[in-house]
Amino acid sequence: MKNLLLIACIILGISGTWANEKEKSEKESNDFEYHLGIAIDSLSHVHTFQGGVATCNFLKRIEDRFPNEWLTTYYIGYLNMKLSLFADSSMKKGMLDEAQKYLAKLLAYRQVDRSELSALNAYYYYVLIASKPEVNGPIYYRKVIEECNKAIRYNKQNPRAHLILSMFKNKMNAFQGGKQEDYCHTLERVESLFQNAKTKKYYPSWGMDDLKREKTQNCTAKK
Amino acid sequence: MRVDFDLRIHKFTKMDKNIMNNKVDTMRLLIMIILLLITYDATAQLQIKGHVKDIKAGPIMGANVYLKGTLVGTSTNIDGLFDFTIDISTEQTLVVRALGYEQKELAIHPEQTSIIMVILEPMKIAIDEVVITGNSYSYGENKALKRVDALDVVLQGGSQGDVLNAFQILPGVQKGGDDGKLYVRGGDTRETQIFINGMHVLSPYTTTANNIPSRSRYSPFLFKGMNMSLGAYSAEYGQALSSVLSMETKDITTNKLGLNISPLSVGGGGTVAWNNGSLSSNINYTNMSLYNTMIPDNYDWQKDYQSLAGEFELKTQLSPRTIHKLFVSYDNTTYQRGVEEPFSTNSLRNIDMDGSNYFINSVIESVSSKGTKLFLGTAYSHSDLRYKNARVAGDNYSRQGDELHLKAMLRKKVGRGYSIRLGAEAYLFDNQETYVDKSYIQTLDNQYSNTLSALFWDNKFRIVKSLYTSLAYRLEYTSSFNSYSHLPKVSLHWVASPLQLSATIGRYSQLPNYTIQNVVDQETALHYQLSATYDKRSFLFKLELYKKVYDGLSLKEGLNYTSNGYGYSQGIDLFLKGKIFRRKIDYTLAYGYNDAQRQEMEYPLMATPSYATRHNISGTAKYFISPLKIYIGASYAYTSGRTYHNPNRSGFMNASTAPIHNLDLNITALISPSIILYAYTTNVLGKEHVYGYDYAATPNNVGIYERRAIVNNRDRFFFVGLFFSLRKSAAYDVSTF
Repeated sequence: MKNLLLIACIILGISGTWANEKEKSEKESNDFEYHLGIAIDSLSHVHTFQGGVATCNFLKRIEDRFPNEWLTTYYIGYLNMKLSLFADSSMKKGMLDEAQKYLAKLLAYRQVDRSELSALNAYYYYVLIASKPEVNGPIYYRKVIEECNKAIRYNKQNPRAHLILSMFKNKMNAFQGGKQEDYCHTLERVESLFQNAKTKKYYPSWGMDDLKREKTQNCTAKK
Repeated sequence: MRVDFDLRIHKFTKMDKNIMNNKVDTMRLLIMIILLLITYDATAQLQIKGHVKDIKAGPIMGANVYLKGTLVGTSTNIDGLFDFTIDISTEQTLVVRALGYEQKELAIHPEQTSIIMVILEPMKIAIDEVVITGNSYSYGENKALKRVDALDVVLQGGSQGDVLNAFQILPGVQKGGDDGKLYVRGGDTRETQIFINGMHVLSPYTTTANNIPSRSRYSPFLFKGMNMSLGAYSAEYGQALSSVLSMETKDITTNKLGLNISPLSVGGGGTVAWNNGSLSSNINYTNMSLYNTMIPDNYDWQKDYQSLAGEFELKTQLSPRTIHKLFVSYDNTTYQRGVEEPFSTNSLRNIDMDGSNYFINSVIESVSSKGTKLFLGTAYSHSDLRYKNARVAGDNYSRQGDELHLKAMLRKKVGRGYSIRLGAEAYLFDNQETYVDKSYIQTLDNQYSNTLSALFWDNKFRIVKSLYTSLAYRLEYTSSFNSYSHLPKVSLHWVASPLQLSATIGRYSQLPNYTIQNVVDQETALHYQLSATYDKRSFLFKLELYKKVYDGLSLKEGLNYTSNGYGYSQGIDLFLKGKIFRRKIDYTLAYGYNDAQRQEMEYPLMATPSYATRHNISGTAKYFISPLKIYIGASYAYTSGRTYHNPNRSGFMNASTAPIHNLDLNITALISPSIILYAYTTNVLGKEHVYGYDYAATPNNVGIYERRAIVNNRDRFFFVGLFFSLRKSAAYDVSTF
């Protein structure tokens, strides 16, 4: 009998612990920020196209589960743009179309950060031009500038809007056979915007890698 | 329960066995309680393995495989394989999604052991993503033809920087060389109606003197997209027997400032933008004095042509999903021209013209969270034309037209295979025409008012894969005739990119010309259309066969007009667009064959109207000389002779003018990122274009009716203009809107 009670206590103990773990797990599964955090953290470790697609898929599952959160939609759109840069031609168009779909979807969120949305729109056109410069350049170049300016009007300190605008102007100048004289200085200013940016948890913060790459490619010699 | 136990993790299974070996009843009770506690949440762990393939058995990489409503899932690897473990107690749903494929859902049982094979079908195009390119041609942000917007219009050879000129390159579209207006597929110019942001424009053309081509009142830089439908258009648009040109103004833009100057005009404008909106304006002043002094024409200008035109647009984003656009335009044109009509005595006079035009257009577009789109629009047009010495010296003629257009429309997509558009609109039209002769006696006081109300309903759905249909219906009520018009439209489209085949039948109506009295109903046209489009990358080929059957046309019978006129117009249009010479030259080629006859107005019998020419060929080319940053555009057009009535011969509309050959050239030089030079010349070949003949009302003393050729005021027109962008934010952007 004693043995049996002991066994019962052990079982109850186990089941209690199990129940606690389950409760914790349920709490986690209902915690949007917890899952978004996992997805965003994973991005810093992902270095393959396939890994990026897997993270994008995870974000889509989060979106299904938490349909009222604009940040998930934002990141899915952004990831599709980013991935399209590395995708083969058969997937590139699909990813850009998908990105456009998510950009349109973002408009439906009342709480969306309008400056970040415009900056992402600008990035979409920037990527679209990069995919087919000859065809898309003349069609969408004004859109990049307009969306960047719009993002800056909403938030003068938005580092991503300033970065895209600077990179785009630099590329336009190069295309026209000229050179943006103060490009490195502009990039320095954008860098200080990135450093001073005060964002909420899991708010868009991408762009620093692009900035570093631009500096390496354009400003190394000067240093 | 049993199954749950079977699949529980090892630790619990072992303990369960020990407990089951005891035979004490109280123990059993206790065990049962314990078991209940444990098994209440009991689930099994199941490894799910599978393979995702497409219909050709190729692996799909990156498919999202997960349990519905959960975060539990994985992505397929490069071989399309997936493998993950889930906790499962009851049947659940496995979702498989991949970019470009239809989503698939499968039931998963706790006993599932076999490898799951999933085959995904390619994504069917959603109904709102299907762009029917048959019958329509687009500029700007339209999926049908992804083209550069305003710049494409300006750079196109022969466009002369004019929206309406740009469309003359299309097959079936003729621009009247004498009046500059659009004539589509054997129809009169008034059968083509123009809409801005979905709202009707009463007077889209500038006012000019006789035989001077008019232009669009609106700069191409105002618009983000233009769509020309040559027939069988949506039931949303009414009051057009032949075709519809729909233009959409730009959305909220960024700060801009620009100036332009040429020997005949000066202008400028800009845009101020803020968080939720932008305000744009543009003013242009045109004066032909300097130009006429440098390059005189055939006319005797007493006071040179001059016009002041302004455009203004306020765009406000009322909420993330609602935008309001208010567009206002105004222009005033004046000139005084000495004329002496041949074959007429006492006709020497100075025609003194003063014309004003206003257009106000206010639209709200909103999208609900469920995707329902609401459109509300109001447009008011006013035109005021006043002529002194119109027919004879000392007389006065004036005409004032007002139109209020109201429209409400809902659009909704249901699922992926059905979309509906329904709405209501009203046109309130008022026209006043007076003529006072040189003795100050009013001989004409024509007042015309009409209210036209309409309901329209247009729905598209997919019948089977790649096969779509559209059923539409428009009901119009006309107050002046107290009559209803029933206007159905049916179309069938086979869409298998890059090829599309379309067949459409639709009925359209239009009020007769307001100057005509006693007619009893609207004029109608039944459109039949077959079209094939091949659109791949930058290559486009279109073939269209059409027939329009006119009925109820205004016809003069005896002293009065009746609605007994009728006619037809049929033909073939071919259009080719692409790039050649290492894709450096953009070209278009168009051929249109038309056979049109009608008995209307003063026609005593069926005849081909003068504006309907049988063969029309056009070609354009555009080349960018990269090192010089210069675009060169050229356009050539051939039009077979126009019919005209020669009273010296028997019959009616019994003669034809010589064919017209026309070559236009333009050059756009990107001088610097903020300065663009734009120049063009028309009729480079210097050929005389004869559009018809004016005959004397009576024969001369040898019994011959003398005639005079109808030609333009000048054989050739040159233009050189400089456009400055005063903001550095955008290079080569001369738009002020």
